[in-house]
Amino acid sequence: MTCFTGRPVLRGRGAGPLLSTDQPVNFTAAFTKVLNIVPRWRAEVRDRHHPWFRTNIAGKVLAVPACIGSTHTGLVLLDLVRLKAGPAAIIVDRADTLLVSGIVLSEVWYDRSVPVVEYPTGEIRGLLSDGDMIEVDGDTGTITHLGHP
Amino acid sequence: MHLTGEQQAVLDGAEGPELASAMKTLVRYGETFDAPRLVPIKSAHLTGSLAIASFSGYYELLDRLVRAGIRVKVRTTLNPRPGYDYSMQNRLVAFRRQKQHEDRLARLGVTPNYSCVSYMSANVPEFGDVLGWAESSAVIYANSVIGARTNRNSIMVDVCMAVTGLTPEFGLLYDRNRRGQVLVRLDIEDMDAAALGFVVGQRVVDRVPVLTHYPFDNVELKNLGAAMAASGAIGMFHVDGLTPECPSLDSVFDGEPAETVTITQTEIDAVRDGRPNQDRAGMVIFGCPQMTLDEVKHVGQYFVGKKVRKPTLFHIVPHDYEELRKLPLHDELVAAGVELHTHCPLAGLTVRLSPRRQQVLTNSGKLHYYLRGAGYGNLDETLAAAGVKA
Repeated sequence: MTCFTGRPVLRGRGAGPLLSTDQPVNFTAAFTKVLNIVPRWRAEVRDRHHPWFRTNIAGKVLAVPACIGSTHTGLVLLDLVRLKAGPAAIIVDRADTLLVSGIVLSEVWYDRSVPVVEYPTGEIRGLLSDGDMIEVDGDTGTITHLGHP
Repeated sequence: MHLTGEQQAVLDGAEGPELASAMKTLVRYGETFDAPRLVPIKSAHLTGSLAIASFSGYYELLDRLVRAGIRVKVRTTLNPRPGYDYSMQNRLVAFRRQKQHEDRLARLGVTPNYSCVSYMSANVPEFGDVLGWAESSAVIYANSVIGARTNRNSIMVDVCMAVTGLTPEFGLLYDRNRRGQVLVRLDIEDMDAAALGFVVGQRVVDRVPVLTHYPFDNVELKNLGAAMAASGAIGMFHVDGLTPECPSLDSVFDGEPAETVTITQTEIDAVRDGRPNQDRAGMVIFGCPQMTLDEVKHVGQYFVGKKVRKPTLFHIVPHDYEELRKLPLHDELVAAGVELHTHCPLAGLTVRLSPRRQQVLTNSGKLHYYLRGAGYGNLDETLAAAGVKA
């Protein structure tokens, strides 16, 4: 069992299959397209500029280098988190204001959150594969590899 | 975080549970970035002007604030409308709650200026002002070109700042985080600010770039920054010898920059769509962020006495549109067949284009990023596609 310890950013625990990318993610461009109005496609990436195009992020542990783009990111993340329709946890090289805000809004106003831990995601991509089961503890910053699918 | 007695009382519920939650949002947001305290803001700018039907949390929260009778404590301006008010799709589906949403924002005391370029007319900050702004293109302009100070704040967090008049002190509010991180050498013969911004966003991602000198005007700086904040997460940039906090490279770097990148003509040319796509585009779109009057005059001169070959849309700051109406250029643009709008092109076109899956051409790096099917062309190419320039 491999363990990594990163910097805890937002509290809580979450587990799920790993979904990683070396390209920064633009949550606004990904989830505000016409198709995202359909509940089962709510968490499907519709940003053609991103390699995750047509990938569903629900229940996944995301490993992304950075979040980019519009200040509507919080609109998207607030709903994904409070409706439990989004990622199980997020690992990011450097947490930015918009990623944090979307989750903090859900935590403060709806009492639902997902953990965020800062860790160099390039290293995770080098050692683990997409689909591997991962647990993230946002209180301690621990990222645990639970096994292959 | 250290709170004043008054702030602590609000957090404890002295002014009701809604304001307590707004305060708690700012505290939790600030704590995550090690902010030591909350500081007063001069103004707020809200990004959430659109009632997008696929989302609900934000609108529920605004309703709770309105029902509690809460109003904004500082001047608070607002992003554009979705447009096409009478279209079936907008009235029945995509923006069916728009009217209700606008009423809600009015009851909060928000100024209904409906522009993403508020910083040029409705809400003009001064150098050094601390702001609680959202809208990535407005944040980057306020920091970089005006020298005001705001982080890249989220939708709804902007509302929490407006109703408390406070923002957590961290990030771009501090001198040390406004210094240059990456020197960007420009090796460009034919400047195209929006395409350059698109490439800088991709290359620099979330750091502070310092561009070597180029005499950009304010319209170019607006379009440059908007593109950087779409393809990247940049909240501030400098241009050597042009922007107010960068009189020289020595003023933003301690010695040699840690990293230097060079952006060439080839790289910014690569943002542009190929000729076949330019010809195939069914519409030509200008104004994301919205066009100012200067920009309408500059682009509009090519349309005078001509007729557009394809539907051509100008999206203009509402305040500047009123100024335009007083000029002969307004009627000349209408006679040329240009559609003059004052709404958000992304919101309007997402719905207008979706059933037809139509390709469009735009000279906006930001719209190119966000709008499905929006190819990028420089000014000459977009004018050629519109049929007004060879």
